[in-house]
Amino acid sequence: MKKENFSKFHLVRNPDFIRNIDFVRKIYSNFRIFIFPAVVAISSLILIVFVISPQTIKLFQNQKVQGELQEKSKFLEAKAVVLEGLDEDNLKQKLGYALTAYPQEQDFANALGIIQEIAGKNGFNVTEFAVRLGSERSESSQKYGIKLEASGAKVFFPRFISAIESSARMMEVGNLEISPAREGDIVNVSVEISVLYAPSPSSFGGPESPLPELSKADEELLTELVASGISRPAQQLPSQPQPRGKANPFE
Amino acid sequence: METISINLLPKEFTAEEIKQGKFYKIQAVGISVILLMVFLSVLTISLRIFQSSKIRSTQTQASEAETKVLSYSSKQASLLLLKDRLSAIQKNATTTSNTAEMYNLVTGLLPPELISGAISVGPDGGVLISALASDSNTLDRLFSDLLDREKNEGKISKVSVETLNRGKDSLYRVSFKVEKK
Repeated sequence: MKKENFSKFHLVRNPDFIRNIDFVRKIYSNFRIFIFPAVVAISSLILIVFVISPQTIKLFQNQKVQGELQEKSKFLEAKAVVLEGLDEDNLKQKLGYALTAYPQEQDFANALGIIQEIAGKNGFNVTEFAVRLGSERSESSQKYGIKLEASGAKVFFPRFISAIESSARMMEVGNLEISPAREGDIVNVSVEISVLYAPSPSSFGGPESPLPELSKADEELLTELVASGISRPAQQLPSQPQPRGKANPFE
Repeated sequence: METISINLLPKEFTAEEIKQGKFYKIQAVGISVILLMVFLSVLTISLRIFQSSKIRSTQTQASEAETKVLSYSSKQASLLLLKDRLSAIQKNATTTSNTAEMYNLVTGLLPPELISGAISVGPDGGVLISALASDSNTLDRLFSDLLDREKNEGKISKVSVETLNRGKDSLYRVSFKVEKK
């Protein structure tokens, strides 16, 4: 402490130091008209470069981020409200009808039952049927084949074909052969039917994916499906694939 | 009474005073600039702090809403699957297979006098028919109807006769193929 005081005192009384201070003062008083603005300019520049400019840029960038976050928050809140308002039982019932009409996997028994019912309603007697295993893939759906041998009145055959094509269960008529039977207007028919199915989508969307709305046409279609008598308990949704085995196989 | 004022100060003093006045002006402007810069710095920093706290609160809100949406993921999956199926059913409902379309079209164009035998329709819409006709007029009408653009709705590209026989019973036995456009 003493040493420090001594050095300060010593410095102030040092003639060289006093001379230097006087020199600086003289220089400043002579050139202050230039030195002061220069100091102001440099200080302003430092504030602009290191504080104002980066903070302003960040402010604008964050403004955008904030806007996006607000939009996301609003969207998610609206989505949560819509989802909350949906009746899960009703939804599963509707899904049950839709999945019966266009299932996720090959449903031989159901399809054969429907075809036999259509044949019976149109006066055709099914004598033989064969299921073609394996599937054909198209853009969005897969198909398996059912070959049907039946006999019935020729006049009802177009109606039979139309009934298959317009059935609530999605089916298409492939090859068909008609040959007259011995008796009158009876024909023997061989019809190849492609029965459509499609695995469920691999992803059901994340929290940020938009929620589809059921249009009027969708509701009308659902009403038609219910009216068609096609019904089955709601199917289980496919679960998300879970990782199997050890996380590290070398452990 | 008029007074006479005489400046007895040396000229250097006047020049020094002018110089001093000029410097005070520069000093005032400089201090104002510095104060303005400091004000702007404080303002931007304060705005950034305010903005950051607002972003944090929005983030919290968004993550709460996201958690809520995630709790309804089974409803969302059901709705998406339902929409997917209904769209596919609607798309399929509006299309008729080539086979059914061509069968209905060709059998509708067969003259009533024609006795059709075996009919075979392929998935490409090609129809192969064997039939019996009592006279050549029936055959004429058959082919002209099949090839009439108005009657065939522009859906038939070609009709080719595979076989044509006339037996002792005076009946024409014909087998022909109709191709879809």
